Amino acid sequence: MLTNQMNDQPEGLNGETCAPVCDRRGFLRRGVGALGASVAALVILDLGELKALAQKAGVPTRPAGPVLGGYDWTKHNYVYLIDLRKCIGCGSCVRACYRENDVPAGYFRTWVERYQVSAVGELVIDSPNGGKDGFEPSIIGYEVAKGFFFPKLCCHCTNTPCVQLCPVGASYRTLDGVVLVDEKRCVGCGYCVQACPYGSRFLHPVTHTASKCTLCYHRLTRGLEQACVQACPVGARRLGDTKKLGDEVARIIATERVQILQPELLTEPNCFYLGLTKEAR
Amino acid sequence: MEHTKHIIRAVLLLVLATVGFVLVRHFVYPESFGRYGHYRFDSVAEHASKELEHGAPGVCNRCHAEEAQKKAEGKHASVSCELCHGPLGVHVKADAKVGDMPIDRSVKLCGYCHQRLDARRSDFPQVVLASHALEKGAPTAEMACLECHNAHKPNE
Repeated sequence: MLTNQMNDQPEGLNGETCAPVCDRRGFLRRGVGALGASVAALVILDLGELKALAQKAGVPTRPAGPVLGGYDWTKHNYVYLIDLRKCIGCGSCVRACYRENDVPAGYFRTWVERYQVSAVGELVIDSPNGGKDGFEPSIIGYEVAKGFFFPKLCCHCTNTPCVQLCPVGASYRTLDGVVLVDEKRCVGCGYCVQACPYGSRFLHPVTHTASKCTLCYHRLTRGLEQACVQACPVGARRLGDTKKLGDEVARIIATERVQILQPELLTEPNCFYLGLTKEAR
Repeated sequence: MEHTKHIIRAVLLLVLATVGFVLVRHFVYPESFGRYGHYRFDSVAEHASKELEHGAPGVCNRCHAEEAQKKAEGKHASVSCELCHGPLGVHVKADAKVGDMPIDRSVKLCGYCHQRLDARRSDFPQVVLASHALEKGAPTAEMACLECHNAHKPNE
């Protein structure tokens, strides 16, 4: 009964003059066809656009590495090693970072904290001006059983939260393992500053964009070590490259008991510590 | 076929929207955006091309070989020149002298490393700056470290 009714309808209404366009099935068929063609056109156009861009730049879109003035970023993967047993808390690294990177006063790309633990576990942590002016003897009311200095900087995480939530693609991780901020794209929303579990980002008071340790990318690409590494008088801060054959720091990280900060967050930091202790946080 | 024009209109609208999208995207997105990931590749080059402040290690030896040699023989061998003297950028730029290197003779500078601190590891040489000079028989406590010690070769 039903099929009969449906077949009868077009004839009954319009006779033979109106062919398949009128009936619902024919209309849908043509409509879907047109929609499909449009989507195909869109895809082709967009692909063409991307290809044209890549050709203009003269590089393949992925994954070969470009050369920044003779520097191939696919041939490096940087890691950073801090030996807390060596650090003397002189703050030279902080001062060097300030001079190298023109850091605004009161903000830090790297800083040093002082931990003073008593025999029964009392703990005082301080970092006057980030350790930039060194440390003065302090009266804390107990004898220090365990004291150490704790230098911190951006961990340049492999699985970094700051890059993931940047709404404008201003935060990114380079192929050689450095987390950078594109100051021209950054809108200064500060999401990344809040997202960083290590507190290593800040909003620049003048440019109002996110700023952070760049691992002295301008030095790395010229084959030099970071200002902080070069400044450290006791070799507590070291730069490594896991893609470099026979790299001493890469060997230490691969074979010794190195630790990372807040491993439970699964951010996979590339800043490793030797001599980390339970009080360190 | 009287409804064909409706379909043509819809298709035209879609094509226009697509072209518009591609055009707007072309102008709004920076040229190097997305080449290696969700970021502007030119930014990498911008970071890389920043000017150096601190020099390469050993660059001071070119002109100051004598001092460098002296330092290399002493206990300050692992201390970089720039740690005490400041970055090379204030003194030399593009192989030309642009200014004098600041020389800091203050007790504070020595104290950064050698002030006695509870948290400082005990195997590192350190003194109580407030009383060290008097203990060693100096007339005043405010005497500069450099009056007795040679900064380039402190063990001498």
